[in-house]
Amino acid sequence: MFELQGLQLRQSEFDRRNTQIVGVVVDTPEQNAEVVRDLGLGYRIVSDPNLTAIDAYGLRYEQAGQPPIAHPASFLIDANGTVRWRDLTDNYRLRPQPETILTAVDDLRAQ
Amino acid sequence: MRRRGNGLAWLGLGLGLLGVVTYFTWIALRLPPRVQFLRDTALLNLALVGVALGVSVEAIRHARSRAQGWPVLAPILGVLNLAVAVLFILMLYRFAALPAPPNAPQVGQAAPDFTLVDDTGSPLQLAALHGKNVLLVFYRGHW
Repeated sequence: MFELQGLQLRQSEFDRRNTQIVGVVVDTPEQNAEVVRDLGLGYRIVSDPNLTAIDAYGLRYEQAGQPPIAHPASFLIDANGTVRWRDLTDNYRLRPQPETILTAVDDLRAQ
Repeated sequence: MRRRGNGLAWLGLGLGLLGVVTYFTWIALRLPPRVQFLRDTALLNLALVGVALGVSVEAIRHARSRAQGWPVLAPILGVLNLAVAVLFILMLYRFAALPAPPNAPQVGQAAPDFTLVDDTGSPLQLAALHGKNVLLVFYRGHW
């Protein structure tokens, strides 16, 4: 959640770089609508309760007694649909900072 | 003077506990992203825990210099304080560790396409966004 808020603060900078943010989570569209409203997000969150995208990206995370969720991860995908940068955190407390991602977008655009 | 040494020992443990407990208040406070580092790196908490351990060591030295033979309370509280610190550090760095997802798409590979329902109830297809860069953010959500 904190991560989504952090990205929201820099959204205009992503917009200027022709980059659209999309969140993916196991939660329902209703829960996501609440998050979008509460955090005032200007980007969309998609609902993946059956882990369709989460499995396609190899990110299923399971813990005994808990429903499966996504391993937190970010992918920067270019206009042709190729992954150009990714962050697979090895500690769930730590997510990439927006500055780091914006730098990756700039690198991609410079090529 | 013996009592002052014990007071220091209690102070050390108290500071150690405070250092750990305030970490959870950062989370409960839902800190705005600009001060997220307080939560992410726990710098203030680790600093407080460090000071607390210093106070505990000082308390043991103090008690040792005053007591006949070895003092008991100050070392016990010091060991407790150390245990709290070790647990806290394990919690931050060990228990939060995630296994690497080996099958995640590599840089240079095609991003798998998907169509999922967004927060407004409309379907969103990743490939339909081609022409733009997309930052895809997978997160854990309500749990």
